[in-house]
Order: sequence, then structure tokens, then C-alpha cells
Amino acid sequence: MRNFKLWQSIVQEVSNAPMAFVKLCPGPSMLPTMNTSGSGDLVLADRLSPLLGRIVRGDIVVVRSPENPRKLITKRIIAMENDSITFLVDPQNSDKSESVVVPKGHVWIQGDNIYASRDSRDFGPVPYGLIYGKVFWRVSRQTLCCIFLWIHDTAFLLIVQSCQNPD
Amino acid sequence: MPIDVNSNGEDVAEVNSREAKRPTTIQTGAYKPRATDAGVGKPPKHERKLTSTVWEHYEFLPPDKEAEANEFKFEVINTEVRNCMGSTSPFWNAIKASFTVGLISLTISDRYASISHVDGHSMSPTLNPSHKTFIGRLGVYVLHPILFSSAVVGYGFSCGSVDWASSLRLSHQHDTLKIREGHCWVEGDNSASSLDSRSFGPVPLGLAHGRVTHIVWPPHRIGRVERMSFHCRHGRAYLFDNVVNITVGEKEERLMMTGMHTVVDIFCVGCGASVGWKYEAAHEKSQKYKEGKFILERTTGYAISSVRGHILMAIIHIVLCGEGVRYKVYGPNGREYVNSQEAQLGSDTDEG
Repeated sequence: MRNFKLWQSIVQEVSNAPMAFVKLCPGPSMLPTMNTSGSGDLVLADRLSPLLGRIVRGDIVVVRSPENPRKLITKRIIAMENDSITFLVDPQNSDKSESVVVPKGHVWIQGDNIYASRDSRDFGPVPYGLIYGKVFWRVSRQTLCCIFLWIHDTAFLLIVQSCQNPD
Repeated sequence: MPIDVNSNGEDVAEVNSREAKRPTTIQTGAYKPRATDAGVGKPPKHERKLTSTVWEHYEFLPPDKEAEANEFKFEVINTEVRNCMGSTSPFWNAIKASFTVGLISLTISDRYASISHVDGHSMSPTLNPSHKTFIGRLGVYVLHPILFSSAVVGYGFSCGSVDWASSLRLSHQHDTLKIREGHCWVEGDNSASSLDSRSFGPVPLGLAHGRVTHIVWPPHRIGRVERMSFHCRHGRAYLFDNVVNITVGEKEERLMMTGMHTVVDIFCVGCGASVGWKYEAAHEKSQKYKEGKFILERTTGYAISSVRGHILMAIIHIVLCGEGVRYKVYGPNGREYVNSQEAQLGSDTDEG
């Protein structure tokens, strides 16, 4: 068990390249933008945009969770600093809404599926420095399946060919 | 006459005659691509050293015919033929080398270690301005609050994700607040001139960039930076259910960082020194858990012994004012733990 966790953290460290990285989004908090069937969608995110300040309202970003710094969560930016935002506190049970002004240096993130999302409505505005990357590409499940099948077929053909030619 | 053919299928005699015509040394000067070559006017990119093929593809221009050379004029420098047009090679090499070095150092500094400059006086005397410190990355913890880049030492989050910090704000406004999960409380060593968590609250741990491990500049300060337990005036405080040997003062309404509270100050029965306070009522709903509990500050002359795995095991209050020491020791759930009449200084260990 310990070894597995060690390997997991190593793989996580290695896969967080300074340029772009790949992330799996298995949770339901971004439906219907991102699917959750199977193990979720694969997204590509780049790490340069937050450092250059090229984040605007409406971007989907990957953020280090303020509750658990080892976790990365994917949400959408609803408001930047000095915006005032009105949000529904608990849309499933009540109609209550609150207004808040996002302080300087912070952003307000929310999942697209507000009924099942733990976001800034729970833990408040998030410091800008916690933004880890900006999502720019989503690999749909169809594309993933096609790529996987292609790899599988190519590998199969190569193996068959090498068996036939006694090299 | 039999024609000898070598392994490439060429006529041996032809090869020999061709080899004989090859100049043994490269002539320096201007070269022009041969017109007979198959339509290529640029040197083959993979061959920067054209020592053997220079004569094959390019013809040497005698000085009087240099005017014939068009843009593909080459100079032979140390048996390497380089293009005279465009930037010179050493410059391009320097650019490529610096780009590689930059990329490697970016990766290393992002993931493993980096060097950072210290600005400001908020960390005197541990770190003075114009220090350069070495930041190890594998331990997370410390550095880089939200708005500022000055080095601030982070301290005090225990493994259990629940911690209380007591801080001295402006004028004797003590307060304790519970630090949220995933956050930490950062303070500068020089608390008089330090903008830290006392102003902007607990900081999410994800903002911690790295841990300061060494000072690398100036040379007489090279050394390790020790992780220290907190010794400031306003150190940690602990929330207790039960405290003995105290008397209470008068009720007062106090505005604290977390809201309005009704508190009573508590004093030692022996010497009358203030050891903390008790929350009688909390006006904010989120602070209701504090009601009826005591805050004992760590720097008021008692010793705490802690056992690994528990935040606090027992408390021994030592009355320093008079003769004899009376104390009782209670565990965190209120049961009496040890009863002794000896003056005993317990070990003051930090659970961090």
C-alpha cells in the first residue's frame, strides 16, 4: 500500500510538466460540459497561461484545491477580482442567493453542475496563485477510443509482421 | 580488359582517378556551388565539415572571379565551410545553448529546488535582506503568500488538520481561531514589521512554493536554516474543557478577529498572573464551539508535555510566585491523570 502511494506521487510529480499536462476529470461537477461516463474526460491544460495572466471569466481552469493542496480540481472561473457576484447558495433545497465581492488577488470558481459541485460557494474565493493551469483541449471519449484502437491495431500488425518475417 | 568493380558497383579505375584529382588540402577563399550539381545551391545541412565533398559540390573561385559569387558564397574556416550570409555561428550556438540551459533550469526550479532573493525585513534576524536562500521543493510548506513575494516562514499546522493559533493583534486583542483544513498560519520572525497571516488570515497550503532550507549568500551566512519552534510572545494557545487553579475575572465583551465574544479573563490562584481567558458566549454561530472553554496561552509559565499522536496530553501549571507547587494534571477529556506535589518542569516539546 505504501509503495503504491509512493508510485502514485512520483507519477503525479513527473506528469506535472511545466508546459502542459493531462488531467482526468472523473467528477460530476462539470456536467454537461464534461462527461463522467467511465472514468471521465481527459483534458489538456497548459501551465503558462496563469503565469502570464491570460485568464479571463469563463475559462475552465485547473486549480489546487484550497482544502487539500495535493488535489487538483477543474472548475470554471465565474468572476475575477473586484467583481461582485450573486450566487445560489444551495439550489437544490432553497432559492436563497448571496452576493459577495471578490477580493483583490482572488477569483471565484464554480462548477457547471451547481447541484453537485464543491466550489467557491463552499470555500470562498480562491487566491489567484492557486490556479495551476488553463484547460484548452478536451479529448472526447470517441477520440480516445479511436486512438486506443489505432494503437492496438498498429501494435497487433507489427507483432504479426515480425512473427512472419523470421528476422 | 576486365573491369574491376568495387563493392558499390563503381568502376575501380574511375574511383582511383577521381581520388587522384581530389585536392589534399582545402583552399581557403570563396567557393561557388558547381553548376553541374543536381540543382542544389545550398550546402547539405548535415555536413558542416565539407572537407571531402567541398571539391565535389563547390568549385573554388580564384580571387579575380569573386564577383561571380552570388548569395551562396562560402568561406572555408578551419576546414569547415560556413555560410557568410546571416548570423555568425558562435552567436547562434550561444542562443541555442542558453535556451537549453533556460529550459533545464526552469524545470529544475519548478520541481526540485530553486534560489530566491529575500526582500524586506519581515524575517530578521533569521533572514536579512540581500540574502539568497535555497528552497527545497520536496517538502512543500512555506513561502509565497498571495500577494507578496517576500519570504515568510510558515509554521504551525499539525498533521490532524485542526489547529488553533493565538495571535496578538494591534493592542492586546488576543484571539484564537481555528485554522481550516488545508490552510496554514504564516508569520514573519520580525513580527513588528511583517505583513502576514495576522492581516490576511490563514493561507492555503497550495500557495506554498517551497521550503527554505539554506542560505547561499552572503558567504559568511552560508548555512542551514533551522526549522524552529515558535518562541514569540504570542505563541500557540490551546483550547481546554477544564482548567484548575484559576480564578475568573469580570465578564467583558471583546471584539476579536472572529467576531464578538463574551469572555472572562482567568488568573492563577497563586500569583494572580493572567494565564488566558474563558469564552462565556460567542455571538457568531460558527464560533459557538468555543463556548464554555478555556484558552491557555503557552507563554505564561506553565509547561506542557505532549505525547506523539495526541495534540496534548496533560497540563501542569507551575506556580512560580509562592512556595510549594500545587497542581493537578488533567487529560484532555477531564479525568485526572497524575497528582503530585513536586515541582517538576515537564518537557516542552512541540508536536510539529
